[in-house]
Amino acid sequence: MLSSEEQSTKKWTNFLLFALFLQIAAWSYEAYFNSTAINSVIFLNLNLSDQFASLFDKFSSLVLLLSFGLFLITRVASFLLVPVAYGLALPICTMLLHSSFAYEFALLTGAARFGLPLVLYLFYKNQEKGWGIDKRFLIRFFICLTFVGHGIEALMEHPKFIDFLIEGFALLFGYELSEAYAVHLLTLIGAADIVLSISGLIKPRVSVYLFMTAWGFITAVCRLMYFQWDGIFPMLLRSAHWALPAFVVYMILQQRKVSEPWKIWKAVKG
Amino acid sequence: MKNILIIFVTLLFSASAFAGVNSKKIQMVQHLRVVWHEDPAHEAYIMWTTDKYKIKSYLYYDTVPRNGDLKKYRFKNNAKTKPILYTLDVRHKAKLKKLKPDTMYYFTAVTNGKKSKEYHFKTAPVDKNKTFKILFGGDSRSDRAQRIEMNKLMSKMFQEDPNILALCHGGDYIANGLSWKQWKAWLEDHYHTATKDGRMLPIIPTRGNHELASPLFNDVFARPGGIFKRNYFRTRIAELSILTMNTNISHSGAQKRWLKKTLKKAKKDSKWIVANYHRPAWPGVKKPGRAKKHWVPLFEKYQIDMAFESDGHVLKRTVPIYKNKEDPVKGIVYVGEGGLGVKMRGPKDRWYLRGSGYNESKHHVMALEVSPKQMTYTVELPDRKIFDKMVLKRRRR
Repeated sequence: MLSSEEQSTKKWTNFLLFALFLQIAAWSYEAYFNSTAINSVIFLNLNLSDQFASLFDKFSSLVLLLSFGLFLITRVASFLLVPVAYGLALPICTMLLHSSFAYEFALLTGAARFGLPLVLYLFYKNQEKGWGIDKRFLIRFFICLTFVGHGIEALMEHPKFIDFLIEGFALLFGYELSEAYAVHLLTLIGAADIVLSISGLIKPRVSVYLFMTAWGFITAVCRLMYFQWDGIFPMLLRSAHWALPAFVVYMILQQRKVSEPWKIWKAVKG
Repeated sequence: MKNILIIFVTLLFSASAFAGVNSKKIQMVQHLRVVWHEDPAHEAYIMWTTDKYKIKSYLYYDTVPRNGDLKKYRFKNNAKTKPILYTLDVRHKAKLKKLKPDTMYYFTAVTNGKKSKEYHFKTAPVDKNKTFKILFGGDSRSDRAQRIEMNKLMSKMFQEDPNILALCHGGDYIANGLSWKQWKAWLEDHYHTATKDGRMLPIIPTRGNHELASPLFNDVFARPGGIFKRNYFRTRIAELSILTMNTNISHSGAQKRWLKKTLKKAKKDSKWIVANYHRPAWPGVKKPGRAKKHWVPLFEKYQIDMAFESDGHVLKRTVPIYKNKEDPVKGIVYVGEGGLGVKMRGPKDRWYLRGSGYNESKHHVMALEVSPKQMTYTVELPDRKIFDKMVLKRRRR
């Protein structure tokens, strides 16, 4: 019989698995129906045929889904290494292509995406140790890398972020933000991303990780707002950006023995 | 933050280039090119590279050939010199102003006593009844042998048809926009577009995603769009307006406002309006770029004649599209996708590429002939076959 604490940890671990499922679904969709950075590297850098590159995309899409399905059935942790490898391959290929904005920081911005299956792999590989201090730190580390990466992109005035801000303001407030103001706002956002993520890595605070959960969720959902239905998969792709900080919030609360979510304000104050 | 970094790096590299002054004599004038921005009937940039920083750099030019005899040229311009970022090479830029429209200009570049061969180019016409042609194409970044072949093809076309004025390049000149070595190779290869008698094909430049935010693009093409506009501008040639946009920056901010304002103006003063940008709104391979959301509604509102896109490494032509549907009356045709020296992709199936549209895996050069009554769009393949021809009549705006 599991204790209530163990049951709660199991629920939250399943929450992370659900986030990983959303991410894998998005990866698979993008690889199957569109093309990825891996495809471009195979085609352009490795000089293989376009058909092979497309086939590789489709194959990897199926392998991702299959490995996750097999993990759910067998609970063999090694299956989770497939999304880890895929999550690492994507930013590395982006860096090789020299074609997208701030490609130099692709490994940072994609850290949560390969970090999520990696921490789950480490957890399931040695389940009896639970979510030990090393894994908790690793989660915070991946969150930190992701937020620092996005913070740098914001400071570099990522054009897509500028468009999101302008469009978001127009939709929410009916007011068209000028590009200059959007850039100023982006500078503040970028600085906040970096400062908060580093402070969260050094000393985990509920308030910081609650903010990061909310911000990670908003920035994922804004894809849906911006691209409409085409934004569903880009939104799902960013599930780790809010799921991992939410998990850290749970971990801090659990450490402080705050069982009832409505008492969260106490923890925030603490 | 970004600007401070750029200024810092500029100063750092400028200092290193100045440090090399007089340490070695220059080798030769290289990478001569003619760049057109907004008013090619009256203005042009002649640019070149040398390997050491020298203050004395001039462009001699005239409306008749002088075969490099510097004393005979009627005009002489000081060229501005600037060390090229991250390198010890130096860029020379002579801006020619108050040129006569539809006139051949012969020029020789001179830096520290070393002079180039005489080349020539023709300014754009202002006469509304004049027929002329502009070449279009993009993506010349990763297959150098193919790029040279395509440049030679353009040279042949240029040689045979004196109505050709310039090449509107849709971006992705090279694979890594920060690599001066790759830019140098591209500039060397660009000589292949010139005719045998030395007529140069002016370039109307567009920034592609492989040029990133690289300052080298501005060094090579004289900062198209000026200091405040970031590489988006309108080129007016008689009754044609070419709107070149930058898909590497915000699509919805200042650029969108500029596009709206410029389309309003072009509607009044130009019979023909075409757009040219890198990342496609209606792609043949990848996902649509943000142009679809921010610019296509304006294209449709102001009824531009057609749009040239690059990036996908295919040859495509869409059906006429209006409000996400095929519309033969109000629809706009999107063409291009880039094939001037890259490995071509396999075609993908999309609703807008069926019927009168197509999507093919072919290297190509597009040409737009503008005459008083119609515009004729043609696609030429490396084997000199005309793959596609489309006649556009004047639109109601």
